[in-house]
Amino acid sequence: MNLKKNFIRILDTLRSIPSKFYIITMGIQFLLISIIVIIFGLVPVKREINKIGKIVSDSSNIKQRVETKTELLNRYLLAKHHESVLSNTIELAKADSIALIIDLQDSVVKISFKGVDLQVSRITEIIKNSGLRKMPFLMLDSLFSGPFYIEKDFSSIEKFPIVVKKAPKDTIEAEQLNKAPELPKQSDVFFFFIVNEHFIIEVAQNENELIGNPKVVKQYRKKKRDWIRQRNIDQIKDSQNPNYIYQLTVKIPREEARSIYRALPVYPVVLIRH
Amino acid sequence: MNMESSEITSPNISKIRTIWVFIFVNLLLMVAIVGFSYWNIDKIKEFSFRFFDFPDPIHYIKSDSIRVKKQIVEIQKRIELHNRKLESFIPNEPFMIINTTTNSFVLRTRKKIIREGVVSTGSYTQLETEDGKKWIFKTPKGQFKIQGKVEDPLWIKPDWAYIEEGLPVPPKNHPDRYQYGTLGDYALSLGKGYFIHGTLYQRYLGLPVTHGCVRMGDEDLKIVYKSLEIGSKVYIY
Repeated sequence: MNLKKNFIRILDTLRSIPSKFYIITMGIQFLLISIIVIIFGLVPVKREINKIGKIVSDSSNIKQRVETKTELLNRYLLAKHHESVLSNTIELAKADSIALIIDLQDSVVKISFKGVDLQVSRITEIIKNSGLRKMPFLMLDSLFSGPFYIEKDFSSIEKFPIVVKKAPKDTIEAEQLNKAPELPKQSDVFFFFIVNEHFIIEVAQNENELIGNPKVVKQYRKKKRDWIRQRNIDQIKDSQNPNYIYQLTVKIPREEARSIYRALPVYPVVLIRH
Repeated sequence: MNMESSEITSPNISKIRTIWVFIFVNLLLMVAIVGFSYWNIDKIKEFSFRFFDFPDPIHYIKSDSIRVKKQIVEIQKRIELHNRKLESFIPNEPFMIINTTTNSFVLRTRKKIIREGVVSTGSYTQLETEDGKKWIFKTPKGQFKIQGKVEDPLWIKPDWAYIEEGLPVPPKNHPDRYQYGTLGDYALSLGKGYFIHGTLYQRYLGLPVTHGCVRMGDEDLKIVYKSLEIGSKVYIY
């Protein structure tokens, strides 16, 4: 009863405030939101688009549009890109390291060593953020195909799951220690590679239900969000920093993702066919 | 008079208080908006991309459609050559791929799979003694070639096997070190002391339990032994 009375009193008092106040405060909130969207969103995105446009026009041999059928042009670009990916794959086959090849055309993720595909996993979902989705194919080919030499990654699983065991003092202690082997702990698989300051590639399990510790997955997601947020804040402080972070996520079955992550060396090479 | 003035000013004080509360709440709301935006900066950029498109790229091609078609055909030919080159990297003769994460294997040729199944690979255990000796039990990764093939292999028990059991380590050539039957019917050497061999612990196949070697079931091992020759490739990842 008291609560109702208080609530009615508050409502009455609010009604007595001049409508001018409401208009002014709402106007200020709207202005604030607009400023935030402009500073945090529109300006860096526009800068990014201008930057990409300049890269392409600077590298172009000719400065005028050519009247060619779009469909024919697309076929040409696709073929050229495929040739480039195959050529890079051949080069990677000469190296002494397992490479990761993400083929978005055929929807597969492969790990390849000396030209032999050790594992081929079907991609069940491809997620590109807005910038990558809108990017014209020509730019994807020249800027986001690789090969990329990865120097940092974050993961929800350990790379080398080493267990340290102290040598038993005698046979009795040995018997207690050497019981039946433990089954490997169940865990969920998510990892992303930082290609550079404005491009990350993520491989995630396609299973929605988590089988491991949900805190581990939360921690992983937090690390990823924090990394992206920090880069975005850095850009506001210094406009020379990248304006936008392109993200590519591919989803494959959990155990295959685990095999891939553990197979790749500490500094893997990644190649993408768009 | 005083009572009248207090009756007049009391509702005014209440109104002023409410206005201040209203302003305070709005300030809090503004702080919340700024905080929320900071937290979701990437989503704001995603939203902003709706209003922009990348400029149409200037084309590299400077000739007519017929020439472009010819170029496409030439590229297709080069793609064909590259594919053949990549295929040549795959061994013609039978080779084996071992996955140490799922503890599985595939025995195959370029065109078909001969056999697949489970194995046991390294446990990734690091054994440490009090005097600082260390052994890490993992199966090495990479490309290997079969260096030797043996039937009824003999296991020469290394020091770590005694240490792991809490037993004293005998001298190097002690007869107790020589054990038949432990490694199954066949063994294929990968070099540096690593083998593909059989096991008494068939029930642990599919689990990472070994000290670095690759253990196989009897039937699988027999087929692998008969299919792979000296020099055959084994890829372990």
